[in-house]
Amino acid sequence: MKNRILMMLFVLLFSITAIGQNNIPFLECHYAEKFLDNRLKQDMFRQDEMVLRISKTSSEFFSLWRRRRNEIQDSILAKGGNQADIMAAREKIIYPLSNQHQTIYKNLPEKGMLTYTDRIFAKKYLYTEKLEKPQWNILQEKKNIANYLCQKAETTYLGRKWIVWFTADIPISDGPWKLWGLPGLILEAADADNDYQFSCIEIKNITQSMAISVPKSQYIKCTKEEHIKTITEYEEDPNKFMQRQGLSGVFAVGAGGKQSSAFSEIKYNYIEK
Amino acid sequence: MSRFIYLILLCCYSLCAYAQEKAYSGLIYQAQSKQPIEFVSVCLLAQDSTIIDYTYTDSKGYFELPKQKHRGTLLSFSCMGYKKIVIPLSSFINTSKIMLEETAINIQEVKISSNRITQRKDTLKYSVSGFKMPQDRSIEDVLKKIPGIEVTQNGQIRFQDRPISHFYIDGMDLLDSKYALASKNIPANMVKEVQVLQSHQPIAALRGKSFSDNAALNLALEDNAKNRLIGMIDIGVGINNENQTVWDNRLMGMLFGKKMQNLTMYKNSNTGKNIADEITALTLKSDEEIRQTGSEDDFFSANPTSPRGIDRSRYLSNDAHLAAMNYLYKPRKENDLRLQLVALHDEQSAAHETETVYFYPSQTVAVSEQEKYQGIENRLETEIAYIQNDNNAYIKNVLRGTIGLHKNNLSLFTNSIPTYVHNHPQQKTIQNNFHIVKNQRNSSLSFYSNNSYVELPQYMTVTPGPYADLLNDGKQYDELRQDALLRAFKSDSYTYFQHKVGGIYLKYRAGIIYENRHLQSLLYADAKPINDVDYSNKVRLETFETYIEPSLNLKTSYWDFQFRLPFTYHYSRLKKKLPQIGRESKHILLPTPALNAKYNLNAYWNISIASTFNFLKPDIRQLYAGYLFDTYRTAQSFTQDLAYDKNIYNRLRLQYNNPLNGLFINAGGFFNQTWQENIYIYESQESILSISKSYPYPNTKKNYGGSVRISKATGWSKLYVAMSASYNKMDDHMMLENSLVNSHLSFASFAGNVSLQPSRYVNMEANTRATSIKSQLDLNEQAITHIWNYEHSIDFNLIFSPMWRARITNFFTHDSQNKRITYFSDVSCTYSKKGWLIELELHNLFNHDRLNNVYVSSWTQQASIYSLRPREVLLKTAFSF
Repeated sequence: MKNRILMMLFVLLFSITAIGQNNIPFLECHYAEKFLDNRLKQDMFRQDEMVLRISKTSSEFFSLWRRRRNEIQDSILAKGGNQADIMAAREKIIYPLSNQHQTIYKNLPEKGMLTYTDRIFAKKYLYTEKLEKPQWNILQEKKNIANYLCQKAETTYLGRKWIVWFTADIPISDGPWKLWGLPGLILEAADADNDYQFSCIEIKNITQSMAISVPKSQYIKCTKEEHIKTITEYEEDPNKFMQRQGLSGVFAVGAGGKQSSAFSEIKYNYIEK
Repeated sequence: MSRFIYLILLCCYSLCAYAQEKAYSGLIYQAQSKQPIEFVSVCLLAQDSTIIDYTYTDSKGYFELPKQKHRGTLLSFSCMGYKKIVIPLSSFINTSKIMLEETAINIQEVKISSNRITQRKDTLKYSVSGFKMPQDRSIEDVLKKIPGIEVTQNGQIRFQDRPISHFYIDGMDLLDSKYALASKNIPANMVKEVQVLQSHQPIAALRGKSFSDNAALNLALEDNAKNRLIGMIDIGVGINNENQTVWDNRLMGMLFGKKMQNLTMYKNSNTGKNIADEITALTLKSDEEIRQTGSEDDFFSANPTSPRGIDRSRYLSNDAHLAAMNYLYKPRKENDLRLQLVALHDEQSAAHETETVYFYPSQTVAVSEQEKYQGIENRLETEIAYIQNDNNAYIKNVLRGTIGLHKNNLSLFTNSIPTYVHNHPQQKTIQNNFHIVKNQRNSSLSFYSNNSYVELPQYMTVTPGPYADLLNDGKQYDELRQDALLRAFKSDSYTYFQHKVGGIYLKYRAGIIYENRHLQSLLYADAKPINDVDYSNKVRLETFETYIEPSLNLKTSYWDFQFRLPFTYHYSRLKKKLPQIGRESKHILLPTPALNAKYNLNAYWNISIASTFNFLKPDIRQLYAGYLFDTYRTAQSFTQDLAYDKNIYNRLRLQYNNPLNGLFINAGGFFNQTWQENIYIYESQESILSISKSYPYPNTKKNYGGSVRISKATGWSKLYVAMSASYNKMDDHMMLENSLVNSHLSFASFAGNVSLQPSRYVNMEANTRATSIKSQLDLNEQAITHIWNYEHSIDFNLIFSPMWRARITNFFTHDSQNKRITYFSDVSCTYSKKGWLIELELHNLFNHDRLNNVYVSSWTQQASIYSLRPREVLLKTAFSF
């Protein structure tokens, strides 16, 4: 009897601490992303390294390069450093340039919701939406990715047809970007047009980390449609975008040093259609 | 009866059983705590473990997986942190409880490096032959194909969305920001390889210490392509309304050799525009150098009087020739030697009429002038630069010399009396900028030294000799001559260093400035010096300044904070010889803080304040006691007391911006106060002569005001509307004749701006501005002068196709004194195809010949009429060989 009580107490304690630990990530999966964000330039693919950090209840998905660059920059600016000091620190850990400032938090602020934060021209944006479950169609094909046996699945989700490979050996119902809902971690994902491609390049266990949470900052709270409209305008029509910030008369400066009001043509190819 | 019930129950049971047969269901619990587990993935597997279907347990641990006919041999139960269970379907009992044992999370780690993007190397190299197509004419066509590189319509080259910082040809940077000249004209078969230098830092000693985010491009030329000449010709010819020919031409040649590069250019134009503008992009420039271009104001004006805000090509007739040569020699990889020569010859003429009124306590003086200006500008600029750029140190030394030989003549009718003025404002300057950056272990040390010498030997003659009573004992004479000479030497050296205090970077700048300036002037009537010591000057001002300036910069997501606290010691010594002998010195040791802080209340609002306190240094141009005529009808003299005026400047601003609805509001105010040691005295003599003097009399000047700006960008036809209003008031003191007067000068302006793009073929922009200037003097009669100036413009851009474009601009101006509206209208039409373009330009479409302008100051009012250039048409074309 005594043993039993002791054991129950032990389990209770364990479960209490377990609750607190629910948001601390234990696994990190890195993806190499290749994407085409200008529909008019069919051969200009951009690259990035994206990270999915998974905890028991939530996960976050962001660009590693962008986040490391920001961390270095912010910490130095907060100490009174200038541009030269920032570059000196960055030189020691070279991260290429990435313009993907967004972070996707799944199951935050609560289960079933998604929080999306982004930064466009020095202003931060945030929207929350219901975490919609994609209707997956599991296919028979299998292949090996990163030493894990993966199976193929497809879905039409948020305007694109996605073809993914997931592994049941990692029973985490998550994946890159907003993809989730399969009985295993998605290691590879690509849309049918091959505009956006993610492929796993690293999986590692995390031992010590802070809990996943949306950082406190000054966000412009908007809806998803407003955010898509803003980022599309920022890419396609910088003149109009600058007018929204109160700055008029933005000109491109040509190679002759002369002003010209013509910007190059971009048809922005956002991941959601 | 009981049998019947039994049958129903059996039916129900079989019904239930049947229903249950449709799906596999069960409950999953933790083995130890017997608690239900949510989010366990339950999969129906085929014999080879391929997943056929799946589901998840809910918060009660319950799952339901629909049965599939003839499919599925296994059921698996897995969840993160628990041991996976796989059981054959045959042994699965529906609605059973499954226990999962906890286990440590142990995911097999994996790292794939082949797929990874490792851009550790800073340089990407692309062989041109891989990208070249037979129809590629210039290297720009090839650049467009290289992944990552983008060439915009106007020739700007971008890599990864950012404009390139430098464009090198064979490692040499000849063209600076004007690289389109090369990229559009260098033939593709001349280039062997294109190199993209990422994270490029042009200063080698700072590599590893600082770099820019922008990439640089280097074209490596083919061996047989070196020592090749590339030429470009731009021709523009036209005619104006008076049947005179108008032209605007440019001839340019580029030569690229193994160790040298050469760019030579000749331009000529008589369209009135400033052709020397383009040259500035070809010179070496860095942020430090832009600070140091020391230039002195001429004693007598070298340029015609110009209406505010109007481009000189509207009213100036000219005939200009410019020749420039840029030569770059690279003896070794780390060394650069650059030589630049610019020669300008410009003959100009302009005409205007002015009516100036001076409001004095005892009288109002009106001077009316009709002036014809003719000038010749001859300017020669030379620059030699030496750069040494290796990993140990960066040394840059720029030696610059300019000679300006201007001459101008004014033919005047002043109050109907003919006068002829000849000005000779010569300038000679020589300047040396030295910059060294030495690499230390963890930081870098930099030192700058700039030294310059300027000489202004100038004179002015007035015929017939004016002010006979004042200057020649009442006797008439032919010519008045004012000689003036300024010799100024300045040496400015400083260094930067920094250290960490309490986790924050504190930066310091320390320097020494030494200046020695000598001013001398003499007045002659008919070649005889006027002996009255009131009209001659000989003074020397030496100043020595040393300072240390600590500065602090902090930036967090809420605050942006900059604070500077220079401690300056300034010593000045005045040696007087004429008109009186004497010596004076003064010094000051004063901190001059400057604060700039911005606080972001939230994502939409921010508030910022700025506050500065400083002192003004004595200037020899306000320390001579003998009268000096700076125009034929104005003369100045000053008290020779050294004074350090002090100034405080404050600004507060509130800003709101919501980019989602495109609304932007900015409102702010400012307040400045200057404590002045001297006061200015103005009086009129001999009917048209205005004299100004200064006298020691401490007084304060206040300047304050506010402004508001609101703008909104909407989606309808890309409509953008902005409105702004501003107010600025200046309260000052002066003496008019012998009375102390308080003056109040206020400026108010209201402006609106609308831009619209109804379709992708048309866009338009309209602007309007009304400015009011009000001047009030606390005299007996409470004299008030109040004028309004109006300006409006409306422009249209028409894009017919990628090759055809047209532009129409209209500009109106009028004011409250004249009911006449002046109207400029220009039209241009361009046809451009790959490699060449044709443009037709029309200036001043409606052939307006007069422009009115009014101006008000504290005690004067000026109304002018300028003669404008007539309507002209120009046909321009450009091509290369």
